[in-house]
Amino acid sequence: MVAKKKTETLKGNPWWSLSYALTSLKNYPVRNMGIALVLAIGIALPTTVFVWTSTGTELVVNEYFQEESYQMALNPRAGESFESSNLLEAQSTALGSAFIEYAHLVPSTIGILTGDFFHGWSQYSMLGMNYVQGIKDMRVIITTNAVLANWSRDFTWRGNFSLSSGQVLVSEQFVGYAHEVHNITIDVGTTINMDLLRYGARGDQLGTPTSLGQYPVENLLVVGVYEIKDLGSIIGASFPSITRQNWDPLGIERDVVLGITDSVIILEDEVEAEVVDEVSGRGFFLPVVLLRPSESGLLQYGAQNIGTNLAAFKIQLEEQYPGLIVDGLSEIWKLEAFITTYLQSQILTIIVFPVLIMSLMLTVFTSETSISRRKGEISALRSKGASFNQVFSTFMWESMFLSALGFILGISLSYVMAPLIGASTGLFSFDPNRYIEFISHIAFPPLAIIIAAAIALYLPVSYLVHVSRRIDVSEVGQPTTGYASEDTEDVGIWRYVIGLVIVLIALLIMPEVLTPTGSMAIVEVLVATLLLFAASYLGSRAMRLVTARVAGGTSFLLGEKSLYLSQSLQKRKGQFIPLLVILTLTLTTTTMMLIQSSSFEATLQNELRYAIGADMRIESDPTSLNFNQTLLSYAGILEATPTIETWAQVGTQRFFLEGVDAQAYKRIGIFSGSSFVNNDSATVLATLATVQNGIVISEYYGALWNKTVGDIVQIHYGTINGTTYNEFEVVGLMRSAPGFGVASTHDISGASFASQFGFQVIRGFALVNLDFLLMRTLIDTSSLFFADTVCYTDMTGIIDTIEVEKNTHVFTLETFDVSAESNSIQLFLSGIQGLTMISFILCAAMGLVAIALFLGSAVMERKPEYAVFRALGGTKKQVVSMVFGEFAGSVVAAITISVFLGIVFGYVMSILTLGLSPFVPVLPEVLSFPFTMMMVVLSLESVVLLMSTYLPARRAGSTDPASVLRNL
Amino acid sequence: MTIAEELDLYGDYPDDVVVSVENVYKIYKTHELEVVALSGVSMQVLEGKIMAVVGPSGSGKTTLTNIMGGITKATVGKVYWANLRTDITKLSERVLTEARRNFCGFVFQTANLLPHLNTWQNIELAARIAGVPRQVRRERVDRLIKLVGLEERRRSKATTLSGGERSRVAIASALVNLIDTEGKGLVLCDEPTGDLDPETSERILDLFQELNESLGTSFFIVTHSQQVASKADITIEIRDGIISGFHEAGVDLDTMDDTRIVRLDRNYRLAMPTDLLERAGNPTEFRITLEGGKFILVPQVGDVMDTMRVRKTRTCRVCGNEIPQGKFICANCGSTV
Repeated sequence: MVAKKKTETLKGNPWWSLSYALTSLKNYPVRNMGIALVLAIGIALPTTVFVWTSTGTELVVNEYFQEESYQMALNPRAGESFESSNLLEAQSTALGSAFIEYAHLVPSTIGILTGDFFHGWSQYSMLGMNYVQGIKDMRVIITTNAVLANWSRDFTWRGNFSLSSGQVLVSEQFVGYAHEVHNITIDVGTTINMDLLRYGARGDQLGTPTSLGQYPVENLLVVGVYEIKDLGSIIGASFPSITRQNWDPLGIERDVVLGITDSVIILEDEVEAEVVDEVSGRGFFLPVVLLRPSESGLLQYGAQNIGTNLAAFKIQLEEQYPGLIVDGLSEIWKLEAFITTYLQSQILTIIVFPVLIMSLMLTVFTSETSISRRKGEISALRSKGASFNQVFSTFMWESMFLSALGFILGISLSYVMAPLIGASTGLFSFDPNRYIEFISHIAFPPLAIIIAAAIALYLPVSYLVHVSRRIDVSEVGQPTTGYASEDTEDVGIWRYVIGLVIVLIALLIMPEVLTPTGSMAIVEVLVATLLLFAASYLGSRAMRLVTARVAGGTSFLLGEKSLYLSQSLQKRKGQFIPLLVILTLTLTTTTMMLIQSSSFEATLQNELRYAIGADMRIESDPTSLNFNQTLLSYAGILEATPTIETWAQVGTQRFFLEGVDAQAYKRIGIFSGSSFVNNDSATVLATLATVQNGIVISEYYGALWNKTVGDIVQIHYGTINGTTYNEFEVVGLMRSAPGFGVASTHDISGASFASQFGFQVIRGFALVNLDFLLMRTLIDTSSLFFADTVCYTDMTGIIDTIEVEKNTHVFTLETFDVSAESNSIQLFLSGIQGLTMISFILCAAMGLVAIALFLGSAVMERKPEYAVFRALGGTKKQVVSMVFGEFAGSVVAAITISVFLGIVFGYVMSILTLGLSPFVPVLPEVLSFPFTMMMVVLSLESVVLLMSTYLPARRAGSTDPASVLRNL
Repeated sequence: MTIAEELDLYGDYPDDVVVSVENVYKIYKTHELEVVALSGVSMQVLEGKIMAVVGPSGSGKTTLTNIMGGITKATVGKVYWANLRTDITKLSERVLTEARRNFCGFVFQTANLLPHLNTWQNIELAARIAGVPRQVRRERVDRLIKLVGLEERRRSKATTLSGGERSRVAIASALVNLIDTEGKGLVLCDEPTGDLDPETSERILDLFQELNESLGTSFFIVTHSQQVASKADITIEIRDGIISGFHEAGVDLDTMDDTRIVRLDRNYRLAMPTDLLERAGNPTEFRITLEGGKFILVPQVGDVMDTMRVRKTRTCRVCGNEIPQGKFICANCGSTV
């Protein structure tokens, strides 16, 4: 028997799934864009925070390096020579370091201006009265064009700031002096001659052209006239001036000469190489090596380590080359403080966690809905010979494309939003210039990209889980368009209400039981986020039933629609509950973040007001106490009081004694109910006024020393003549006092707001009577005055006058610029405000996407229902109004519950956010409910959401009963 | 004899058998309940024939189709596919899918078209999935579109087609990978005219016949409709998972007289034609008598066995004496029956 031949099987097209995925993506643009957008929101949120902090860090680092050409300079110590100081070796060591971008050795000496107007000189002394003798001397800086290019950011100039052979740059002051000495005008285009002095001499020593190594340099064309921007910069400090009498030996006028301001710059090619060597080794001034750290090299080792690394490098150079002085890095602490605050602000990611989780949740819902709606399609593909793997890879390709799209969108959103945080100047306001600055320096740290990619992968994973299940259960031969009917849900409302009440109680007691500070605050924010989801779910379910009941009970208003609405709202939980939860979450989050942000700002203002201490706080160099009278002479100032401060010690405890006029301080100071322990401010200060050696000590020291009101404390304290000792009677205990901050810094776990403003008395203080302190210490000057001003008067004019005329710093709540005085607080505040703004936008976007996806798909699935309505005689308008009523009912339910939940969660989250911040309030937190802003924002969001429900309702109305029912 | 020939266990099947189902049982388990959908069904689909299966709802028609198409696995029994020359119940899902592509096509009541694709694309889809080269694909689709008469609607989206047109697209789509298989293909149709009016159904059935004649493809049609059954070459009836009727030619059961041809299945069971049973008042017992080379089947009511026993006397096997009816001991020798 011969075996019969088998037919060959078709192995299948491995690329079909890819092409089908692309077709499918094209065919469902709204749904796919919705999924990608929701994913993008999830990706964008953490990425935005990281991009903001990273860009901010880069910006401050950039600004720091942009500010000056050099950040360090190596100068030989006094008594050292060019060789003995090992300057050249130090230069090459610096160049070998990864932290240094370049190290420029710049020699300079003295030159004497020559020409037809001046026929030569026979003697010269650097400190002599040269000008009256017709000798115009100046510093001659010998350099290269590469160095000049780097210097350009430190100078302003006319003409050029680069040189060619036969050219020279001159300083403005040199031009002025030359005019004074020789009555000549030097400007761009003029030609000058000079004698370069190769060998130096001691300042007062006279030298001859030979001894000073006269080296004529002639016919130099002036191509630029420059002026240094900041004499305090590294360049300015590296070429210091001297002052000398030039004209009149008996006069008092001295000119500032021979510094960078009185200089000319020539190229080193202008003279022979050996002349440069001679100038370097023996010239009037020792050369300087200017160092510019490498921004990229430093960033490689982490932005947070820039300060430490540079400081370490500086120490290394100083230790290695004891003959050198390493100047610079005086402002590095500012840079460090900025960077640290930016890095600390990354914790703010946590406050957008609800939005992040919401977006991920919505991604699951939408992918689940999307796939379940395509069950019929899967079945059709299977019936046409598609293998499990082919169908599976189709969906996986789709998810990969959507994931990539979401990634790109998310990164783009971060690109747009991160600068918004950086440029934020308040709730819903930002500085466009700062925005552009941020966007032009935007930096995506690798960590942000990794987080973004990890979140992007969430979609394929979600598909992986859902698709494989769907393909498995999809039977071949199912209809490609499904119609699932669902029964009305018959559940009681009370279980949800009770659940909600329990969740809210748990939320409210959480910060009371566990103090939210540090990592505990992070944990509590996460728990609160979970509770937010639970509350939104329970609230949504309850509100859905409430709305259904309301709809059912208002038949007198709604007519026949009431039955449909009440029935419809009780079913389709698969679509409506996720939608309601998402809407509730978005609206609650918006409300919550508004309150959170507003409360933080209100607390900040409250702390600031307390830290300033009075209507007006005047700080100055030690000034006579009589200045108080001067202050009172200004219109608008009702009352003023000085304070005296001296150090004090009890045992090993050091603190300050603050002498105040108790009666005046009582009236002027802005006290809080929590300032003093067990008594109000008026009583405590009135007692202090009556007890000459009275003292108000901090609660902390009271407990530490076991002292209370009426006890005697023995204190050593500083006087003009040394240390003295006194017994003080405790008249009160305090926690804090206006104008001085927290009474003992041991009382708070972190930095107080006042310390950020610079108003906190270091370690702590005690209040005593001013007169007593004055008498005992003889300190009759004050650096701090408090003043009470007339309300409702514009004090800015008076403030300016006091500041300018009396050389003081005046602080008031109204004129205090938080951003200028405390970068850290400003950064944190703008972080919260920026994130609130972004969350609002993203929440609104997510709400709209959720409506488009869920209601769009609900309308699609329920077309037969609408077709039946139409077939039964319902007009298009009736169907639209019925469906719109149902959809809008859901949105209204979400709005109602979210306003309530938003306020409760806003309250708790405000407390938790303050716990997250690196600053500890001295006073109780101020909760601010920005009702107008909330009304505007929520109304806007609600109107947009409600309007967006009209579109699917209109689509429902346009159902063609003939075609739908035929295809049923 | 080569090893291949030795192993060709299915070589004894006639060449014209496309699919053979042998003693197939299908038991669905849902929760605690077991439902027997097919109970020892055996049948063969012959090449180039239209075969219809009729029967009431829930009788197991769709299950039988799915088992034949390899979509559902039989609980017990064998299913032979001519292209594989093997029992498919032992094969993996992947091998089955690949083998099914140019052997089986499906036409369902719902047509199963993809709404976002047009006529041409819907027909082409199965060939694309199978990896048929583009040129071949085009030729096949063009040919099929002509065959099913949809030249005018080739660019129309599936959603804009009428019910009849959709059925045509579904049929063409089912044939797109079978068209070049020289007749060894099978189209499994589950209620293909269920959605259609009688006139359109008639046209679809004519199309089946035309395609059957022109392409030589076999059709296996599940239907409720006697109209469909009348167009088939062979009609089987199925009832409670058992084949209960078998008609060699296309018959309209309504027009047939009271005589039928039935076939013993592999378990020597004789399935009864359901319409005749109904006409006889759905009897549950029969008296079968072999008389002069003919079986006489008489429906029974009442205590059949007792009546039969009363009439018979026995002969003692020991002494040959006659034992009177109703007695069990021989009066002569005392032996028991």
